[in-house]
Amino acid sequence: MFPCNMCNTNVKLRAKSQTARNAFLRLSSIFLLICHTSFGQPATPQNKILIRGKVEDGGNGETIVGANVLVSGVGIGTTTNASGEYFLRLSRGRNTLTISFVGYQILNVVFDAQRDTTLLNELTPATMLQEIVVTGELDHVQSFQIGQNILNISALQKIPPLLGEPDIVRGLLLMPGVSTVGEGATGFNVRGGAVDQNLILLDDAPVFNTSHLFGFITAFSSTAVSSAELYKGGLPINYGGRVASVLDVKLRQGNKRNISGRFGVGILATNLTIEGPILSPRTTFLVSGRVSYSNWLLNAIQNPRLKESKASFYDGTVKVTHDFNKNHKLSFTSYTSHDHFKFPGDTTYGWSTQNFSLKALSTLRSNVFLTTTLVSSNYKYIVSGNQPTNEFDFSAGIGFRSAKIDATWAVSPNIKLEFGAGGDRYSVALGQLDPVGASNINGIKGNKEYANVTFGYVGTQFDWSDHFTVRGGMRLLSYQLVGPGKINEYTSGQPRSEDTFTGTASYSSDQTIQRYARWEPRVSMRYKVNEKSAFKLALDQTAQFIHVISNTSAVSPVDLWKLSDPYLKPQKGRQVSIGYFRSVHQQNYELSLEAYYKHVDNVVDYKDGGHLLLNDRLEADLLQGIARSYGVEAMLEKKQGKITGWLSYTLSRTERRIKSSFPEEQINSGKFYPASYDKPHVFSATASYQVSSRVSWGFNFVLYSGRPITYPTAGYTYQQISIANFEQRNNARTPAYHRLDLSLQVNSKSIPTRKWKGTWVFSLYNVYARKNPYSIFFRSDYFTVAQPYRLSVIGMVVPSVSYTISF
Amino acid sequence: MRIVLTGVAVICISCVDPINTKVVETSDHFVVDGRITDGEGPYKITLSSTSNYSANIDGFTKYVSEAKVKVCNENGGCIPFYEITKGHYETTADVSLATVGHSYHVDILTKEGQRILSKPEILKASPPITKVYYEYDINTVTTEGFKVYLDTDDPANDRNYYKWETLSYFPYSSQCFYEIPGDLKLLLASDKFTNGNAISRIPLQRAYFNRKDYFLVVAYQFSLSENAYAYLENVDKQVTTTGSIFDAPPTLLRGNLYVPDNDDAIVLGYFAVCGVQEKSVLIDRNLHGVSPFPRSKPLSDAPCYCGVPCKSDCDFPCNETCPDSPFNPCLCGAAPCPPACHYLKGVTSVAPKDWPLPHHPCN
Repeated sequence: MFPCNMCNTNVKLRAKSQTARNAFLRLSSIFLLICHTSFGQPATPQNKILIRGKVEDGGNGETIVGANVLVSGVGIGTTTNASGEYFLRLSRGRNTLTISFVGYQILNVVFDAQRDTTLLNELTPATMLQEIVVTGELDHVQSFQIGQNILNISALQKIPPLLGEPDIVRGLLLMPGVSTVGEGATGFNVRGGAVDQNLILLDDAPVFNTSHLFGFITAFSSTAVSSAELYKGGLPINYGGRVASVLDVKLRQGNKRNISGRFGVGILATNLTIEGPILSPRTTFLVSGRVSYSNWLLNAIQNPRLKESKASFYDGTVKVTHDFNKNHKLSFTSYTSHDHFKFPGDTTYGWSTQNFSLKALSTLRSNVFLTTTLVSSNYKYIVSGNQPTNEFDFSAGIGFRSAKIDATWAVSPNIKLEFGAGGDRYSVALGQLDPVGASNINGIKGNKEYANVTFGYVGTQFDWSDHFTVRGGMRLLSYQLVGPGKINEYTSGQPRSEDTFTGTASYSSDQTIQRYARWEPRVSMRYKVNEKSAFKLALDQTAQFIHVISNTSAVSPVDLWKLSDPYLKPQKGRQVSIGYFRSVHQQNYELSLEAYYKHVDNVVDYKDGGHLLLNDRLEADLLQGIARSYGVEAMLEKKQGKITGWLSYTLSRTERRIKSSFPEEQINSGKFYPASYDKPHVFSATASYQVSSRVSWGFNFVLYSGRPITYPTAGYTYQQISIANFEQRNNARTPAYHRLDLSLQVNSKSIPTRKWKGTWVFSLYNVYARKNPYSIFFRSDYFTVAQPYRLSVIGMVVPSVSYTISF
Repeated sequence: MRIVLTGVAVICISCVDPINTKVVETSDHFVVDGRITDGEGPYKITLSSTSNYSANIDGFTKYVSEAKVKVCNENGGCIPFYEITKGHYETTADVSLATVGHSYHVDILTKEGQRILSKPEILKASPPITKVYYEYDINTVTTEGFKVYLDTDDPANDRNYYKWETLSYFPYSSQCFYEIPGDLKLLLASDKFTNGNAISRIPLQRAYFNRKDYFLVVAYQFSLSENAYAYLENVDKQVTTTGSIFDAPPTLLRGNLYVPDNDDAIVLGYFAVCGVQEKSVLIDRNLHGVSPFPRSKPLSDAPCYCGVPCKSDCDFPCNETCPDSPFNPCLCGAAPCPPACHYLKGVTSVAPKDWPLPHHPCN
């Protein structure tokens, strides 16, 4: 066999002989290096050997995707692929790898290899050690990526939750560049992007609605999630489809070693996760579910208004993985989510998601890696009207199918090629109306839209030197809106309206209605000044063919989605971002500074007073214009010690301009105006204080600028009704929003003979009960002058408690 | 469990508080409010301008005088409107202006020379009203009354847009009637989802049960253009908004008025061209319920009226005084009408045509 040394040494001892960088790394106490095979190939002529490594969770054997692997002193590095594997070409002899991933302790692997070698690296979850908790984001100096927030799922448990549910979107909202219109609003806004400009992937399948209870809770439970990465800029070439961001959420693959699980009870919902191997460690499963009991609680409350209300949800995921052999692996994920909501009155809302994804990971050669993915996403919702004589069901939804192949080819130690191709099929139901019972309502057969998107991309990453790395690529897309379908026609050169409508053209199923081709060039680079600081730059372009059609200030789960057509042009986003990253004090602190400028063409807006639902001349009420966003994001993170956490501050602006030669197709006379989610200042402070091995405190403070709203500029009477005149959209702001949350986490005593562990979490949301305004609105109710009112969605302190057993 | 319940209750009960806020007022625009119908005249148009938003309740409206107002058809034939009181322009009562199938627009020239036009709209006939009916409604003593509903049959031919209004009549004296318009609340419907079907149980208004006599409700059904309907629907949404995440933010309410050759000028309001149908229902309040009000009794034929200004009913024996005396004496003898009736706002000497009792019109 070949020589192979296992080295288990504290890096501090090696600091003098290794590079300076190593001195700043703390070597985790547990790591493992298994050398169990050789490739039997001769070493390359350059005296290089090939290292093939795999990174796993040391606790349950799960694959870790996206871990950073760096060769100390050489300046090259890579990240683990979808199989958790990495490949490096290194000089013979002694090498040190530094492997890091958010939520895990940093692992230093020192080894001496003379031939091609396979390594298995196991990372220790950070929560298993009390004194070291790696929070927030990964090492931005070493990582190539710019504009990325990685949410640490274990740190998420320590952020004070709302209603006892640790929540991924609420965690992201504490990161720079991410904001929301207000409490209860679905989704989030990234760098001045609208909510529908975020692509949310759950094991590769897009999730079109991310919320339970409208916007209070994220529609997938964090207990089954292994990683959540948000790309705000510098989008990797294999992603596309939305102009603001991609949130890539990966589910855990299931414990390879033994059956384990967790059962949690909160005040709103209960959750159960069970995972483990099936027959052999080569096959694993993970089943996770969550169900609310809010209906029962609403009934129990002695308030007739609440008794009439209903609110319930459930969600669940199933994931099965199978390793055929070292080179071939398959995983299957199913995700289900459902909500039912009724306000006191005549309307009920229901929405549900059913996603499937199947993914094959193949290592074709030691340097060629292939991923084949098939996904299916279905989202639908029903709004039921129960008003006597006019009972109806209104339903709409999206079907999405996609097949794609992604390949990476490590051509040489410094050159990596990425290429891929695939196709998407959209079928969007624009809304169907069905009468219920003896209703006067006529059924309206809903229009459907169909589109095919084919795409291909090629990109390369080139390590020019130890300091300078550049990545570039091109993504090409072809979009076809196909029949069957109908397109309204209007007199050209005039605003689209009832008056200029001339007729409707019908298309059969084999006809193309509209075609758009788009190209997406992307370039990014990193200059690493030294081991402690780096500059990064990225330019990227993205196109978006599907849009939420909503004129409310916040997107809701029952908003319409619509595909691009001859009138509704695809959105095009272009962004330039620069960043400076520095780690200080033995990597205990990390400072990130990023600045960006983003320009989006064809953002969707609405004519004043436009009608959107079941509007068969919808395009006559839609407007398109440009959006520009720019800002500076700063984050200071403390990664180790009893107190960990981060401060985040974003200074940004987001404006839109809808300009036309026709006054009714303009907004604010064609001048720039602030988008309804424009929040110039967003500050958050998040900290966790580990009092002892069992007790920790969580602290969270946020301060946002108020959001733009529309104030009247005058008043008048019409038919004796007092009307306030709103002439300038978003000409005022709500007062600033601020909130403090606290939580206390208490773990049960660790008893070696006991196979389970219990955790209590007590929390207070909005500790000082500030009535943060969601909106200021003017209401006259016909009879009086328009009087301003403030609406606070959560105007009280919200206490909650939850208990979780892990076994 | 208390904690649990509190948590959920907070989610469901958001807080809405009236506040004081500073509003920068900038705009100054003309407001046109008027319509013509295929029904009887006179037709009315009011011209006003915007004012401070917090002082724009009816009564503080800044009416605009001395404008030249006319309504013209597609052939250029125009009918003048005359200013009756400040900012209120009317045709003469006998003019029959509009007929189904023709298009009409308003043409206004203000004193300062500003010209305002409306986009022409075609007058579309209103389908007839099928039925106007009422239901005795007593939940509690204080809410005892009648709910008045309307049914109509929507024709299947094309899109119809409806607006309903009412006028209520009940006796003021033996010779005069209260004439009370219905709620300001807009009653609108479109047949977009119900084309060709019955439109049932439109809740027109509530008739109060405070006296034992007749109460007449005359319902008017107007046909609107698509644009007029959209405009009124947006008015309704805007004045009843709750500011929630489901409400569209308020916007400029664009009507059909414009200034020629000036695309940037904004003229507010709407000039509507409507077909109209009417139907009434008479409620004989003698036949219902047990009147809870001791002073309620059938109106006597004894001539008696309240002094000016009279704020309350005047169906008392002549030896009693009106409730607000001494400033509001109940005067015996024949009421000096028509002046008294005309003098009082909301009182008319003209008997509604479906009124059942013998009436003594003033000479």
